[in-house]
Amino acid sequence: MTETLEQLITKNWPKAQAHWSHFLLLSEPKDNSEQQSIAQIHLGNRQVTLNHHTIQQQGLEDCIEALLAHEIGHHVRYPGTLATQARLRLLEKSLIPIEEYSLINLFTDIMINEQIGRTMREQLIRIYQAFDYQDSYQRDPAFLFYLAIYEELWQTEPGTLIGTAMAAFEETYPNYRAEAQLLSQNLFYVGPNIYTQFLYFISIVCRYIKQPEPELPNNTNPNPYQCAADDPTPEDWAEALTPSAREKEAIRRALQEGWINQQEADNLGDKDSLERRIMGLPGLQKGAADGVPEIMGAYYRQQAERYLVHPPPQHVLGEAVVPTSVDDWEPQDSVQDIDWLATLLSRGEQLGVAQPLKRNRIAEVEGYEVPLWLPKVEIYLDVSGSMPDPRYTRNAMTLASQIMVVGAIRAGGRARALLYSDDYVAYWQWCRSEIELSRFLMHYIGSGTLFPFDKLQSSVQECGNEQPIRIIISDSDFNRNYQAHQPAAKILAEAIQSSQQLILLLHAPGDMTHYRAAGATVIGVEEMDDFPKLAAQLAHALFSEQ
Amino acid sequence: MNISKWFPKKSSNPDNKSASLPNQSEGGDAAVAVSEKFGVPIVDLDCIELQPDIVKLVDQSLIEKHLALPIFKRGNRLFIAVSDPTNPGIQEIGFETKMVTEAILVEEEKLAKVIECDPLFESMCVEPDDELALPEDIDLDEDDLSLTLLDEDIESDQENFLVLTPLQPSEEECSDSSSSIETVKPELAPSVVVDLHSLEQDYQEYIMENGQQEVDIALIHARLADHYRDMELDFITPNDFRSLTEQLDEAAQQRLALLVAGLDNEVLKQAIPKCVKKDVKQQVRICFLSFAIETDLLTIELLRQSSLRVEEFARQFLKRLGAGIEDETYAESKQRLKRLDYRSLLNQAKQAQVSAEERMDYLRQLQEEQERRMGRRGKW
Repeated sequence: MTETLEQLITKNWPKAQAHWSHFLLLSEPKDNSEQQSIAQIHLGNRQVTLNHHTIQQQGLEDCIEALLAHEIGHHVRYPGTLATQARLRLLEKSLIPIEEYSLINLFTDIMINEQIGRTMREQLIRIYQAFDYQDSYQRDPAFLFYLAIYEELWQTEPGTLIGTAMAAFEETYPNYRAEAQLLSQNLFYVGPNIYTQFLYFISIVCRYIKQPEPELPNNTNPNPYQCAADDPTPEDWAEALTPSAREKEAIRRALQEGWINQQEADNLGDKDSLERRIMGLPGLQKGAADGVPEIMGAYYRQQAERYLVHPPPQHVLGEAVVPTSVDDWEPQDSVQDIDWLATLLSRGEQLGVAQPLKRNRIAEVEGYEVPLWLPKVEIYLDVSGSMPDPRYTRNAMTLASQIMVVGAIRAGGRARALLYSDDYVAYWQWCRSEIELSRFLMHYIGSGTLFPFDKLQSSVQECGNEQPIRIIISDSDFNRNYQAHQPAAKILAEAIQSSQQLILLLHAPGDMTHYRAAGATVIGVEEMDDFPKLAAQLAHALFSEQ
Repeated sequence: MNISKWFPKKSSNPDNKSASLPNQSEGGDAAVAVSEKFGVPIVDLDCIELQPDIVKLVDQSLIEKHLALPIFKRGNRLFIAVSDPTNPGIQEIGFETKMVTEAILVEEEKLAKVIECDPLFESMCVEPDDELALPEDIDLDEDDLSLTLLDEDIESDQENFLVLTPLQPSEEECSDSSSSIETVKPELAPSVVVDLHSLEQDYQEYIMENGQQEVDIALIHARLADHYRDMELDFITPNDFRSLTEQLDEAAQQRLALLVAGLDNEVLKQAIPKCVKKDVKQQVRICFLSFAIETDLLTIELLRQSSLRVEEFARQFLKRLGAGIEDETYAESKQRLKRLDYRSLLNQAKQAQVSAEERMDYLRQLQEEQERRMGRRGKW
């Protein structure tokens, strides 16, 4: 029997691919009878797996082509990539902040099924008829509404997919069928922007989401139609934290069409939208956000990439051999500049002697050269209570640290960092991995501020002849620490003298003349959201002397 | 301009306030302001006695659809009470009644009250049941009715006025009030049937190729006349056609062009002569021009986007024509059309949205909770 099924799969695999393209490079589908889903695709490695056991149990051998074509649709178009999936999730969570509930799979499924359903309607109907939804109705009415959309899309008799639950559903949600028909009519024409289609879809389907009831066990009847097998990578999530132009366009259209209200549109697109999107990251709504620091680390690395510091290129001039055009010689000019040949030819012997002509020689620019810069960077970052938690919002000071770390390591240098509040925690080995250090910089302590002058002093002693560039990133609390700590002035002066360069990056620092007098480079940051300016100031501080 | 004095006064309103317009109320103020802005006369509806003859000139569904109430008739002029002088119903009623219509401004609240709640108004309107005793089991909604011409003994002219009478079945056909839908089905089934699928295909083809092109109404006229000549039927005079099409807006003209393009379908063309009820003029007016106006929601853009709406358009047209659909019983066709009716779908969806408001509260609470938990920005 298994052989027969495998033969069917082999036979249907090219046909299923042909629904999308003849030029797909996907490996053969595999059997995974352990998975909950009847079929799924791993968008990370693009492997399609089928649950042979369930297919045989439900007698769906004649629907293999539809099953395979559906999974390929996830790879080809909806969502296509895990990055798109991450963006869909963050949009969704701003509107439906329920951690364990998502409409993305339903949305991508219907987008695919609308396309393949034009030729494989009957197979898809059979697949959706294979399971009983009586129980689902109690737990998730939105799924029943979703089936009603298919009934309207494929114009089947009402109840063909919903089955016996239809009567009770109609009673609880009167007029749902009108909404289902309008949704099936409009959804596929509000595109091609997938985010517009998604916002329209969830604006209707969210009316059927039932408040989660903890007493109803979620896993008694796993969803056999769950196709997504992978989660986006931290880089995907990090990229999705910044809304794309297509998302912004979708939000604007959704507001214009009345799918979302002004408040919801503001939530999706105002200046705090980053924080809201961060709240949509997996686990944050339930307080089990193990992956968030990793994601935010990736986010800061991506942001640092935009503002990376590197030494400015310099002009390189060749030998001065290129003659200029002739000009009148003046008595103050060098006698050697006189071009006698040109003078005699153009002015003759008598006038030429009285008014000779001169011709200079200049050098041509041979090109630009980037000077070798192998920095060692030591960062002291204030993560006290006065600083925002970098895991939940964009912290300009953390970003500045990231810019320095990534800039130094990319230039072939190394870096180390220390985070402090009342106490400090240090990654004190010289590190050449930007990922390692960006992870470390995602830690947050809170509480009061006490700059570790002792640690600075011991660092100066420890580094001997190989002193690094030291960067202290804090706010006006640093002034208080400086004034309160007795030997602070001496330690800082010593550090300024010893270091290649000591940069104080301080937010609203007040009077900074005494630091400058001591030889430190001080950057006063007034606008915390002006990241390009901050990066430019950092680069200027590092390379202005050169 | 208060013109209340022109109209017959309500006898049951002794302390008549018509002299002073309802400017105490907000609605009154708004009406006066609109009247002054648009230069449209204003009247207090409380002071007007509705005249059954006048109300009956206009189909009740049209009155209810547009909230536009005929209140007075002078010669060939029909005065329509509306709360918005730009109400498209004024034009539509003019088209239906073939009279010159003029807007009279009234307060929206009072107008709605009369149209929706006033039993006197209800009694004046022409109900389907007035014309014909239908079996109780038959749920004959307004879509089951078709417009036919009826001579009215009203003053002024020899014009025909449109009132509602059922297209089918006839009074005799439905005399057995105990019959259920199933049992009356054979009698109700139209004698002419058309292949719906091929008609839909023809429509879709036209929509894809020419749907949103600008319509040359003279060309449409010529095509329609040609078709009728091919069918050996007399077509209406050019002047009649011109006057009928004057009130078609661009979208209605596109729909008319689509209907005419559908006549290329041979089966439909054969069915048309058999569906002439009274005369060709009536058929052209009701099944083409009036239909093109009334299906205002089915824009060409929507038809292009949804095959379901094309099906609805074709079904509505066949129903208006009095033709049946091949391989379907009358009840099945009716049921199918009910499922497709876009106007009622929109209404139902609106109701569904309203009834979901309460259910959505918890989502809003969750959103607010999320706002509270959002990342802190530190002291700066």
